[in-house]
Amino acid sequence: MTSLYRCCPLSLGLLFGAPTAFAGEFELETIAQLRHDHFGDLYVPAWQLLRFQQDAGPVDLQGYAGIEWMAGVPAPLDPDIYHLSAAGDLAGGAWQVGRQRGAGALRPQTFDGVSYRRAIGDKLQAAASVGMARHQDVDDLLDFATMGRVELGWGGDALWLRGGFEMNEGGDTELIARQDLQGLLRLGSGPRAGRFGVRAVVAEPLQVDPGTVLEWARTDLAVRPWSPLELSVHAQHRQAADPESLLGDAILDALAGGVVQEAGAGARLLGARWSALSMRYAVVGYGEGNDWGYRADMAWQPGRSDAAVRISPAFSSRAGPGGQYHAVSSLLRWRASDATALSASLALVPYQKVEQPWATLFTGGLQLQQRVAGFAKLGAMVDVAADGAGLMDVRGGATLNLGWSS
Amino acid sequence: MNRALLVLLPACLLVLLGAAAVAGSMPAFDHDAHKAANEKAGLTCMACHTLGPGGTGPTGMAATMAVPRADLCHGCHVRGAELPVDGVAVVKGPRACVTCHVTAPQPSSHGAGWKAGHGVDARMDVSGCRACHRQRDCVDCHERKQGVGFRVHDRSWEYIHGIAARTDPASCDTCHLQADCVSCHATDRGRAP
Repeated sequence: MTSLYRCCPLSLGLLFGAPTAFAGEFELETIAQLRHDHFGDLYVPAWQLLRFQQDAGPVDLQGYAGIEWMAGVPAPLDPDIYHLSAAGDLAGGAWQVGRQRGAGALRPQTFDGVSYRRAIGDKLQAAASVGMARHQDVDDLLDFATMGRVELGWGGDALWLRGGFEMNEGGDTELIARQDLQGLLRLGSGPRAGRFGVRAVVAEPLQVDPGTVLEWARTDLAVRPWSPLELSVHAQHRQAADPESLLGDAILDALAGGVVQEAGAGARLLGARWSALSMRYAVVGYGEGNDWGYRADMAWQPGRSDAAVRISPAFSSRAGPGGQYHAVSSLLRWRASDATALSASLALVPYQKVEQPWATLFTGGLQLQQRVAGFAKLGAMVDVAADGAGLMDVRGGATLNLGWSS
Repeated sequence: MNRALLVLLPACLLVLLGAAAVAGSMPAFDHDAHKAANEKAGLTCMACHTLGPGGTGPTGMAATMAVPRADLCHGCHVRGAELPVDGVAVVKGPRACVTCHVTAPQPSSHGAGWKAGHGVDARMDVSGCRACHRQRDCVDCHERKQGVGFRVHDRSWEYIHGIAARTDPASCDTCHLQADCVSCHATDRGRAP
């Protein structure tokens, strides 16, 4: 609770002081909700988020901080600073210092450190970063790990290549090295241009039990043979083994198959006003190919994104080792005026988890957003999830967004 | 379940066809609104309807007076391009491209496969993105989780994500670490079994 007393004045200070201190982009988001957890208990989470970016002057600042408060748990307050960094130019390159989100072999990495990126000639680009990455441990403790990454990129008008090498070490984990290669080839030019991409990542522990713990590769091709029609195909391979480390890439290794192969195709029909009807289907094979699954998605976004009324229906289906579901959903956005917007969502999801009977989940929600001043927006939401097994999860909340930009 | 699918798929198509009846409106140039905003900022008609050669048609006073040059629009509607007009600060108008360019083709970089691979483009040249987009655009799609219209995972995701994760673990890998599972399912702050 003492922390709460410290954080509230801090929030108020940020609320009133930051707009005058930062001349770039600034947003303060306050969210409070009342909801049920999966054990049926009622609890009250609240978030105070701050995002800012000052992109003027010799040094740019950017930040993203959050405080989470949750009633009914042993440690209700969880203040954290997600990003807080300064950036600028040095010797023809760009530097960044502080807590930042940098490129990673598989996904962006958040770390405390320094990074530097510099163009070498017109086409070549080199980057390096070093710092301390943080990971949450199974005991809810932060596990620190040193990380370093070097990267080389080459970009022409039609072809772009990037290669990277990174290492992580820390806590009770071994040294893990990852190498990644990514390429993009633009086919043609203009809005009908297609693209062909490849990406591959390999991760290996270097000290204990050497051997590849992750192989991941993906290739995709997309073309527009006719202006409104986009066709795509992709193939993917993923083989993961858990090196008993939270730094490892074997998410869900205990649950999902260690070897996954996938091949799929998709189509998008694009309208003149940024509308799109999209469909994707992929067949997924597990292990030695004895088990099969699939994923299918279909969605339609009619009209412009800022149209007065927009109804976006979608269908999504999955089947695999964890069970299967078929979700039909729709999202309605109604801009009643420049200041008022209403969103409504509905979803019906028949699903079956492994070794459990079929159930049908219904979810519905309403959200009202009202601009109360040029820089302030209020929101109120309520939604419900219910299924035939007796689950009834009602959730309500309010949001205040304060934002400035100049 | 095959019978259920036979019902669900036609229902889905019906919803799609029903939604086809709803289309976005195309806003016309609102001269009165522009005139009022300019007058409020102390600008006269001549701030837009300048004398002299200009425009894309025949040069001369008549052409320029009738249709102001596009760069004058961008003076108020494009971020970072604000320039004083006749020594008076310009009005800050809405900056979204689709405010005016409702029928314009998408940028050449937004070709086939762009939606699925736009992260690659952002890593190649983030300054290209920032010509039209702002940091908030990334946040709205990737980080703002509390609205009913969150675009990545909807409300039902909380109950069925285990099925999806086992079907396609590589999709989770793109954003999540194993620690993200742990934080909900195996910690004091976790609210899931």
